[in-house]
Amino acid sequence: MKEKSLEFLRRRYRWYYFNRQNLLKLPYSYQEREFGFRSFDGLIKRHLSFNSQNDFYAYILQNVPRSIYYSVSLYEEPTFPMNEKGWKSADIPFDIDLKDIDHRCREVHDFWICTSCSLLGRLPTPETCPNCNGKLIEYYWICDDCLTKLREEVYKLYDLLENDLGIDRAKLKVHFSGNLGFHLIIEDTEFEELGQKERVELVDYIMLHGFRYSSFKYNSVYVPRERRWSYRIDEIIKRLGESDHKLTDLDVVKKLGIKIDASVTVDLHRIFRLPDSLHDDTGLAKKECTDLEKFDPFSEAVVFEDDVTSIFVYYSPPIKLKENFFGPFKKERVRVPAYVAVYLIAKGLADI
Amino acid sequence: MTSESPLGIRDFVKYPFLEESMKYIRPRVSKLKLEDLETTEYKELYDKVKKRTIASVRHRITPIFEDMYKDVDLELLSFLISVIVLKSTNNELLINRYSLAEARRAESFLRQELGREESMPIIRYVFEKVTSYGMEFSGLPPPLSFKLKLIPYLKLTSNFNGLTWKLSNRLVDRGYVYVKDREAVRLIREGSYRLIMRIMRESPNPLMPPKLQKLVEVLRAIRPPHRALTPPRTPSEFPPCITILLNKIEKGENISHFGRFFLTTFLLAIGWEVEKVINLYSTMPDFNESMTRYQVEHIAGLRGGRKRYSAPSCKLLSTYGLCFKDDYCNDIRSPLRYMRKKK
Repeated sequence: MKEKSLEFLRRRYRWYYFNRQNLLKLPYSYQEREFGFRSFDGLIKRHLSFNSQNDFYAYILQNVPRSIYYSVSLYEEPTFPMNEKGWKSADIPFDIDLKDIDHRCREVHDFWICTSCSLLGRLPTPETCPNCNGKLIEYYWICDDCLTKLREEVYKLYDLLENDLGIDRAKLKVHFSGNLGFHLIIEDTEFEELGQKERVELVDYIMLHGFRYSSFKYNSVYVPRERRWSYRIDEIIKRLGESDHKLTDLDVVKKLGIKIDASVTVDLHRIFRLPDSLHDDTGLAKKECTDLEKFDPFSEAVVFEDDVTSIFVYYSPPIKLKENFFGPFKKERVRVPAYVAVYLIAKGLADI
Repeated sequence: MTSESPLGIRDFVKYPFLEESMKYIRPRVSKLKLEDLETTEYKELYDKVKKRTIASVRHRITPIFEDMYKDVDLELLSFLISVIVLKSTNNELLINRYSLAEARRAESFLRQELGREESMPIIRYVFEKVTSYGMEFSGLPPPLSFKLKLIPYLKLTSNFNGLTWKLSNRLVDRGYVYVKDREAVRLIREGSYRLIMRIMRESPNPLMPPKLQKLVEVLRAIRPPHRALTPPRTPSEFPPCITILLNKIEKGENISHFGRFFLTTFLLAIGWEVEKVINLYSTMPDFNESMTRYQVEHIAGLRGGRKRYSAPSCKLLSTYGLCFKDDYCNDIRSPLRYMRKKK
């Protein structure tokens, strides 16, 4: 990305954080959390903490980070080196990301661009540019079908957390991640005391890792037929009860396991994007979805204004932002609203 | 949680580590000095302590004395003094072994209660006392008699490896995990083991009179030779998860951050020098020497918190999608144990 483009993004991000700082709420017990930032130079600064919302805002406005993160863990001393922080507890985060979900539409809308000659192509991505041997960047794109798939996964997780694990729905929050998926977080429950080992087990349950028909049967053989369980367990019992079932363990896992990014939930040292902060790769905000079904990230997470900006677009498929259609663009200079300019520049598909 | 105790004095002998058993014997303990065990009057107690400790450490299960109900006080004292003797060995391995042996002894009594409906309240009561977690009757027909909350279940089974214990293979409903009575007894063993370890930590560590000190020395001598890991000499002895990562590097393919972390911890653990590890990564497409050096030295414990990171467990690797089990993996818990099994 060109220097001028970076400066453009930085100015826009600053505008957002200056004018919408009331949106940017710190998580509960923020004084016990670690904060981390990625700057427009690409540097990551971690192990910071704030004693008040105002200190935090002051830092944001002074530094204008490209990404804002907070730790899911609470610590005695959040600014100390990792193994001296004194871990106390941690929220349970989940990341449902398009990258972890099989979606056939990838072949239709995903593409790669060469970083040196801007050559463009569809999947599968070759190792290097067939034209100039340059380095390639692969782009994930998100369409309505992708969104539906992601939502389905969120609903499945919702159902499992509530019905299997007994977690109160009021303790669950869903956010659009700002890029390719959704974040779920369980805050302030007894689950916060679970260590890494137990979280691994929990994740395995959600993804159905380690499922073995023989072991499951061994554990459930005495259950009366009429007893109802949660949706997933009923499904397993039903499927496996059929005398001529041909499903392998792997089929069951594929069908009924929920596709989350395990590393996010398991890693106690993870820092997580702050709600209502901007995503570095899109300029979209991480937004809470109060009504997931109706939530449209491409209008509700778009935060910039529509003053016209001139940009040079290397390539962009047709996009819909704030209910307006743009593109497709290919190697052309166009005049678009600022929110489109931010989106394409942040994605690395355009320059000022 | 249940409150009224269904246990009698005979049960104190079976489960000497329970709070109420200890409370029962406490008045006797305060009158007893360790020096008394040197006298002929307490020879019987000394002999019991000797048998209890040595057999526990040797055979991994605490012996059940035929005359255990004859003198309940003596029996309970022998447990408490054994704890002090073991603590005085100052040897983690022995302390562990002993605690597990005692837990197994208790488990064997509880096993005898299985299959009898009137014993279910005892199993439930002992479970709640040793773990401090609640356990409820499931309302399902036996043997699926109990259910416990998810968090206690996860905490108690975190070191279990069997696939039937895996949550993915369990009946889980509204925050409860259903267990069979036999499994409840197995969980009690785990709880007892942890409780005894805690009693051990909290018990005094007095200077031993000569006779007991001699017992301490005998116990120390029983310690099995520490089996050192034999590091693999050639890559052909590496586990598949490592081989796959190394192949990727050779081909110049990218590896995830966690993959690199794992590979680094593994190679350092088997004795590779920091320089050799850094050199390995030098063919990666995004290689940056100073960054790699920083990361590798950090993992080796040469920087920052000075903590040397150990290699992740097989369980964690599988969650990260980095486990590629082969026939030699069997039931190992860490990729570092792979080579020993293969030989």
